[in-house]
Amino acid sequence: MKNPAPKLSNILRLSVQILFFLFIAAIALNQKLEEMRMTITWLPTSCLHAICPFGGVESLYQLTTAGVFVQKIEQSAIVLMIIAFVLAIIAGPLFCGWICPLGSFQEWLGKLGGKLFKRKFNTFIPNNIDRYLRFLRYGVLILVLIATAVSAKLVFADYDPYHALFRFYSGEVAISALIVLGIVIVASLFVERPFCKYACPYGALLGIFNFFSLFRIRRSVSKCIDCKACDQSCPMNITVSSCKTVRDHQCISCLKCTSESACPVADTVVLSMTKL
Amino acid sequence: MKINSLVVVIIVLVVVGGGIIITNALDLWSAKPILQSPAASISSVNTDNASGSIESVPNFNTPYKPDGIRGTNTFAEISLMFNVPLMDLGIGFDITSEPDWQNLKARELKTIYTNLPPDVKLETESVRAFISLYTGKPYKYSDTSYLPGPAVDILKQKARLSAEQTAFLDSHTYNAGMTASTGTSNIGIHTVTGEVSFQTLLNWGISASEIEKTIGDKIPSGTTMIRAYADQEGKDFLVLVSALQELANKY
Repeated sequence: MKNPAPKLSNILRLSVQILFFLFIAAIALNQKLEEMRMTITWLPTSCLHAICPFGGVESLYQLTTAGVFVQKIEQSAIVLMIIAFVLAIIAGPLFCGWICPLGSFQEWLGKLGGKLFKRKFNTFIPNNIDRYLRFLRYGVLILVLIATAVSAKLVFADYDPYHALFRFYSGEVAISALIVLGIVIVASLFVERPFCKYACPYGALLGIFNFFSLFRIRRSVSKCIDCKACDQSCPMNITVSSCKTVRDHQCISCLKCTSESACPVADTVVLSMTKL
Repeated sequence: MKINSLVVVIIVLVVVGGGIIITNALDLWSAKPILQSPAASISSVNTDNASGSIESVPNFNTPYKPDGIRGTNTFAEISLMFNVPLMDLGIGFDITSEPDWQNLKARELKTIYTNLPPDVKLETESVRAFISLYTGKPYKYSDTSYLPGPAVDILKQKARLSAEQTAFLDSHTYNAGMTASTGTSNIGIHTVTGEVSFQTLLNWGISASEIEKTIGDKIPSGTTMIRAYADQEGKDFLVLVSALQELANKY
């Protein structure tokens, strides 16, 4: 049986993800070329930490108390942090579901995992353990923020898989970060978006916006046929079929569960400002 | 009111792209560091010296730590973070071009100091060690980290070093021409910096007439430092240092 043609919403999202992934990869490469005095002039040569919005979060304490940025964090990181917050206020963690290159990378590896393990993919961790593990990322967030505030140093950089992914060839990446990246790569074959679910401190922060964003995933109970297609499509294992409004801290606003994508009934699962 | 994926794409691109464009136009977007030391307005503090009089010393009380220095930090950034004069970094690491002092990244030292003996490293780690010794901030330097001769001279003149630190510097000084087999310089062991006085040149065995021939002028008083002399006489400091170094290398 032929696979159905990819839906427009999936193509759009994939395009945006590829765009940001390639942009970050190009900047990282240009940094390397700068060392060899061969930069691509129309591309920025920013340090990756300068274009990571989490750096802005890490720097907030130092900025507000000592009036300085944490080492290696620049003003652009603060701007991007604010931009991501604006997006999150509008429609939840859009940064996670549409922009974050590490999230996209895990998702693409997950497709390989889906082909390898088929229905078993994304079900390896029992629900009773998974439920508590999902709060681990808040522990990571608190730990990172405290450690950064105390040391005025970018502590997370030594464990950051995002930086390791794009600069593994630079010789500047800590071994610990490479190990974390390796674990994320392997885990992505078994679990969808493992770093996002269990360890991402920035995802933990943005996830809180799911409780008060303007637009949220809403399900029309009257139109829903309980096919559970939304549950199966959700990369974060949220049971959309049991919600009228998704207020889960793990939702990444990817819209995979909506009627544009997985849901077979029109206008049943939508991103909306008002109740259905 | 509901929105679909296309609207989400537009929102993402407009907010991200628009946010960057607007902040760039307002000069709020900077992907290069604009680090500011909180002590920048208090660049020196008064302290009692050994003789009981008040002297002004740089204020190194910044929140940054030497182990936080990255290879991508430029000398200008490091100078700002730690309140260490940019000139001391530039001259210390023997960077001949003054404009390069601003933009040189710590990791680029690896490309400048090449063909080193196998157990000698002169890179970002060396900058951390230099800053640590200069500011007195703690840092665990490795045994393979070396510092150029001028950097060692500057530290000995300006930093408060313990006997242990001085011994470390003496055994971890890199001079140009250091060979793998001997570990010692085969060009010379005298390093000319701005803080070297004319008396020091004479003490090295260089005759007054040779100095006068090199500087094209009568030798000033022995206590005059080369930097001060260049400033007073309006001479190009780097050219002067280079010429005197060539002379010193013969001794």
